[in-house]
Amino acid sequence: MKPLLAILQAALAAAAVHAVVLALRGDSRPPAAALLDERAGRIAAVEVQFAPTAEFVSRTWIEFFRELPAGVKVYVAVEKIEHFEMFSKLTGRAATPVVTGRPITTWARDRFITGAAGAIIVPPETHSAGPARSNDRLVPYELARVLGVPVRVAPFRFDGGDFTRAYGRIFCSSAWAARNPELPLDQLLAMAESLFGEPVVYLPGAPNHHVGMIFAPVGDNMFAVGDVRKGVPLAPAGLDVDDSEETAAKFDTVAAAIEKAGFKVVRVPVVVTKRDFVWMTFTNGVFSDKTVYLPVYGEAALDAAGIDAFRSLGFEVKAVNVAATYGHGGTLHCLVHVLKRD
Amino acid sequence: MTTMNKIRAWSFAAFVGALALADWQVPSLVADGEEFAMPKAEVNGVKVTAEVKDVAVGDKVEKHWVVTLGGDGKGEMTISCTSMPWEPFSRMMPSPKLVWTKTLSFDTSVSRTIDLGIAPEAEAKASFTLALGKIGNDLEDAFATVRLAHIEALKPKGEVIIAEDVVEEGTVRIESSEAVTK
Repeated sequence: MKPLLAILQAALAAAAVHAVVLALRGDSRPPAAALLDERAGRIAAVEVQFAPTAEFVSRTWIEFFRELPAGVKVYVAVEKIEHFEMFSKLTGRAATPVVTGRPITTWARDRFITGAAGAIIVPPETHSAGPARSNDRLVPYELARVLGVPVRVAPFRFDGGDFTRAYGRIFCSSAWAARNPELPLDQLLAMAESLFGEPVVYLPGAPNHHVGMIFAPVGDNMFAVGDVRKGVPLAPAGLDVDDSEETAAKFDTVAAAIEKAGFKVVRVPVVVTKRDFVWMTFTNGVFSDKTVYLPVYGEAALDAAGIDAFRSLGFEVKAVNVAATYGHGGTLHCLVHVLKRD
Repeated sequence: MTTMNKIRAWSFAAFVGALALADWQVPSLVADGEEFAMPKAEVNGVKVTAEVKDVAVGDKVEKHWVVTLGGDGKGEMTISCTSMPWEPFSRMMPSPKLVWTKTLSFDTSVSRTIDLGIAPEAEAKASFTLALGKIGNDLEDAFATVRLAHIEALKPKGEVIIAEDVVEEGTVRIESSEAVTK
């Protein structure tokens, strides 16, 4: 009985002192950033989706997981446990399975975004197209169950790649706004600021793709933004390159808007093709402080330009081949969902 | 005071101090609870739901979207209908089209239902969503995005249909509403 009384006394005393401490301390905590930063902080945990039918990702997985430090926790969403075993055999990586029980795609970034404190945020409607694509919506729920974190529903539609968080701001573009035609833009932006708790930088007139395909934060209040004019001369021969001034101007518009918002911009090559969403871009990497897992394309001149661009920005570059992947409309960042940073 | 009692006293003091100085915030997995836009079924005391119901029109029976209001209040609300194109091979979520936006007066003391007319028929090329945009007037103004109802596109033959319970949890069919107030 005595020990219990002592514990009770201690708890009561602590509560009283705690109230005094709180009153003295005031509410000085900075507001929590709802979204995980895109670059700052070393990666501690990632989630990927493994689908045996997506053989085009195999080389990318092998190279990425060879480079990713062993201490990084890996979650692998799969339809069934046999697929997880295939993933383990392919990459040799220790990981935790997240089994959906239904076929899924390999695009881990599309169906949710991750908050800085771990919350998983999903759109109220998802991309309902084809069985595997539809089933991707199951991944955040199953992952949340495995992680023991809640799932929250955003008040607007989005793809995971529609947002980038950097320098205490959330960056998004006209491609996201177009998914919410019933909401006036000012209301939509107000909702995003309320959801994320940080100022939103809206980029109008942007190319129609996820923002990570267009630009990436590289530190020191700077963004690397794709430049079509730099990419065109480096494009592989025979590729259906979109070298139109109209497309180039859309990237320029994004660069100008970022500068106008008070950030520095450095331009890096990007090759846009005439096929929807099929780009060879270097901004779609996975960042871990000053290390970048950089998508490369097996094209010597183009790859060298991309690698040099990021090395000159002070990054340790770990090249990951996505030659077989980009034709499906996305590269490394679209495949690797960073869940936690240290 | 014996040495043992001193140790006990200091241990107790350290324990109290540690508890007092600790960040007692319950580990929050979302950004500061209330700051985060939380799904809500009610907006200022008025619960808004909608579903497709059979409505007799003359000799015919038509499928209408019918809004049902719970709680008490009166004012106006905006509701919009969007059409999501069926693009199974699109890498990105396609941009839906705004089919219509309606501003509706309501007074729960008069009626708790509003007939929005014929609901679009599910088709293979698109799905339709009914969403509450703004509800206000003599109620305190508030924004809400409530997916009131969702008509899924018809599935191609042999397509996997997600289990209904998962769909409910997965917020696709949200008669119970997934709202956010600002």
